[in-house]
Amino acid sequence: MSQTLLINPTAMEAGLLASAEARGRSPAFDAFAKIGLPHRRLEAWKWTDVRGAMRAALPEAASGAEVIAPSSFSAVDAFEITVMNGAAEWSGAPPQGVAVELAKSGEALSPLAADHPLGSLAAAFANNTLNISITGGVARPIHLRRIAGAGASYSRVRIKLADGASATLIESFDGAGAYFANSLTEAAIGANAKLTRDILQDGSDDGVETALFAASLGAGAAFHQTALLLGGKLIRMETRLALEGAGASADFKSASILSGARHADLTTHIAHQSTGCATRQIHKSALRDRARGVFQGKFLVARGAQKTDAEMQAKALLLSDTAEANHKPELEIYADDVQCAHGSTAGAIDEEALFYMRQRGLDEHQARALLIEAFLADVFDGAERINIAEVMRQRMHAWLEKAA
Amino acid sequence: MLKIKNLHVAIDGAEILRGLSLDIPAGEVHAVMGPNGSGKSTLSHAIAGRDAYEVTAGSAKLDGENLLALDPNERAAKGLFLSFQHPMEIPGVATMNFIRTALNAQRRARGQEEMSSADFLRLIRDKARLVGLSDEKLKRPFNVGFSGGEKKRMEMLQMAIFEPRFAIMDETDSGLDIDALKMVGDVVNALRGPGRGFLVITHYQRLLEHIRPDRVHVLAGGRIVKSGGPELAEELERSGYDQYTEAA
Repeated sequence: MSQTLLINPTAMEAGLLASAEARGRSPAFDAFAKIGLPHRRLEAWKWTDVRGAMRAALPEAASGAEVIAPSSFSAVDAFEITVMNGAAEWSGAPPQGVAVELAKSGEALSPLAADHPLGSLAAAFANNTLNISITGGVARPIHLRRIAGAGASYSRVRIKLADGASATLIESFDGAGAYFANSLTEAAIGANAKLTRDILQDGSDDGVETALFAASLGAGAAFHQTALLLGGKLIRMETRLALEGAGASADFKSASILSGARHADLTTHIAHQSTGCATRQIHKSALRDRARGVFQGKFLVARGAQKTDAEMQAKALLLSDTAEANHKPELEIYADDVQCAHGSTAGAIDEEALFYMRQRGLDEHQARALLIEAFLADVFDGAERINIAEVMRQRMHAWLEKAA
Repeated sequence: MLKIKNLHVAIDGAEILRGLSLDIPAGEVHAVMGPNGSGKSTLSHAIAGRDAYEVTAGSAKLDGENLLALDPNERAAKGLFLSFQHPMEIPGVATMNFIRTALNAQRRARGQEEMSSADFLRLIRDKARLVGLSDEKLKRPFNVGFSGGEKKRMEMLQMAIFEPRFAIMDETDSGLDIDALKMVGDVVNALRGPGRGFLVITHYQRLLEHIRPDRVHVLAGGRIVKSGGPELAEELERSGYDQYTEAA
């Protein structure tokens, strides 16, 4: 038995250990225990201190029992799978080409997730694994509706897209009260398959949510991710991709719009492992009050991954003196015939443009809202599914009403 | 109409305008001419209400109403328009949506009904022809990719749409070719009338060939140092500003 767990465990970590002992220790838990809850002295977690945010013990959430508010995506005809406090449920038959089943947990973690402390914890504590397998072109979106009630909850999802398959996955992350929701999603995207993932996250001021999505892409496969994060006490949305096949591509568009003392961390790690892979990434954040927006983006280009074409941009708009943007764009390149670029900026609202608009008759609130919207607009431009982008835009407008 | 009395304006504690007075009655067009650094743009920004321009003394009233107590948008709703010397690009903001939102904000503030999309579309198309901006330009984000001349046309488009009661034109002529100058003259002359006033700020006399001013004032060292009829502009064109900068 590993004895390396936590020289000085917090109450929360001690509770996790006791709970693991009661279940019977698993390799996944031992992997978690090497690090414990990630904290600010770890480079990858320096701006997102999970241990610090959750010192006091938080019991596991009761499954079910939460009130379900209407889905933000009710106007989108999607096949909905509710993951309430970690327990997955759905009704009706999935769309043609989609198979969904609950399996007993216990599979080894995919290599992409194996070294991740919270991915390991989710695998150790999730009661079962939701397996989604997709063949052919599936037009109807699949909506993974994740809802967290008070307490700690864990879930694990595995998605398999057969060669040439395509699907849209909506993932909403909602929560109420003080919670810790920790999810692991592993995906294998076959050759020439395409997965579109649309994320809408809005937590509670006391909610901690950490989600790891790890996917491998075959030759010619494509992955598109759009995310709108409204934050919570501490939010980490992490995506790891391995572009394994030649000509695989990824496209990321994301925005964090944060008020009060909210925090949101968007972290991505893209490994370009074969020739001719391409990645485009843009992240924007509009931050007010004492909010903190974290962006960590890393492009790895492996030896031999020639003709990689990758570009990353992060821009923050600071709407108050006390808001904070932390950006860490990183390139690590081991091939010589590649095109990689990254850029990072942070600034305040353009006072000249603001004055110009007010001179034309807009009051300060209207002018600021219009400028913030203009700053964020291209995140939702060119969306494949207009009705999903529209839900995101509406959520952004609702935020602007209050925040501008 | 516009009465400015003993106006003192400072930027970052440095006094730029030092007791400027101007009285522009309704129906008249006045020109303010002056060398670089004399305070011309400070005058336009201070009257329009830009934050960084601190009015330390004096008054500015439009039809007896104290402009200096109003927010920039309230001044706009009272009918004050500023044509910017350097209009900026505003990426991500749709031009027609912006102008319509601004027009309706002004109308609401004045207790008027908002203009419908259809009426607005007709209006903007009509005025766009007048100032020489194509439909394609109207569909772009605001001023994005516009030349200097096109940005000035966009200023004139908005002036023609808002029909302000008083317009300050801050070096609208800079960077314009002859055809564009004539267009600016056409827009001003079409609006010119009994209930309306203009303050045309310029270095050169050439715009004034298209817009014949009722009065010309020389601004130097932060105050008006000489006033006269239109012939003063011609005299300045011949003799330059040296005598005034020395005097100031």
